[in-house]
Amino acid sequence: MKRIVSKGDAPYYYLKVLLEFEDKTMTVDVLTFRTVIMKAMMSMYGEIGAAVPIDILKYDVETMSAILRVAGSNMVKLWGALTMLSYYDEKPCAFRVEQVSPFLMALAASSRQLLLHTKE
Amino acid sequence: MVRFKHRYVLAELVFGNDLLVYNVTQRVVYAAVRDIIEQLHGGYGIGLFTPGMSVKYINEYTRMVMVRCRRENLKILASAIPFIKHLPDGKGGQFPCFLRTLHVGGSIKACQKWLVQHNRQVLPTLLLRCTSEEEKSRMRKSIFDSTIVKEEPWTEGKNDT
Repeated sequence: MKRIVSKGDAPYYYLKVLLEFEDKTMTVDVLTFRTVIMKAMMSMYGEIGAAVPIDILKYDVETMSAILRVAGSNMVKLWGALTMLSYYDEKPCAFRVEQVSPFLMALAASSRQLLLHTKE
Repeated sequence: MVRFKHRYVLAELVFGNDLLVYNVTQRVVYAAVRDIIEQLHGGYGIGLFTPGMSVKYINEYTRMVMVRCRRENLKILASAIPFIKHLPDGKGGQFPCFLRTLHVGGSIKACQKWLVQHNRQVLPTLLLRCTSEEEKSRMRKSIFDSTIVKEEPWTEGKNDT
């Protein structure tokens, strides 16, 4: 049984993520946001997972969306932990991973978020 | 045919005081290793180690334990074992103890062979720790008995006992 893990050839991966609470009125600041990510990594990958360097390049409090930067070898761990998260502080919540790319520029535009001007 | 390959980690239990013998069971060591893996690697670690990990051998007097794991997970196990600092004593408390990895083998038999060799080497160090003459002579005798291959009946030893 040989396990093959693709470490990718990119040094960093950039993830555009969005935190969503069941209670829509709730907002968290950037430090709490980082704690949520750390708790998610902690519960799935323990203290070694929680020690993975994850940078928040940009955080928007209004939408609770952020651009994360993580080393390519840890990208799968982070993505997995974010997906598995279901509660923070006993409040149901979820992460939506919107875009993942090895290039930050790729997150500059997303065709999914285009607002097409249609005639009314 | 596919075969599950295992690795056996042979470790020495190091207590604060060498002369104390604690009542350490396989279950206690298993729980300690499992707990430390859960602490370090979380649910992922538990998932890796639930199939395949077990404590195969324990000797309270020579303080040796043998932990088995899947071959793929050896690195994780070997790196987690040094983080064990305490073992539960069965009375709700804990005593300080760590595991010193001595050998990693591919089969129980290979580990046992190595262990016999190791115990022979360790015996003389026990001699240095003896305090009284009587203890020393008993220790010399037991070293002699275990290291010399007797080809014919050893009359001198028989006369002694």
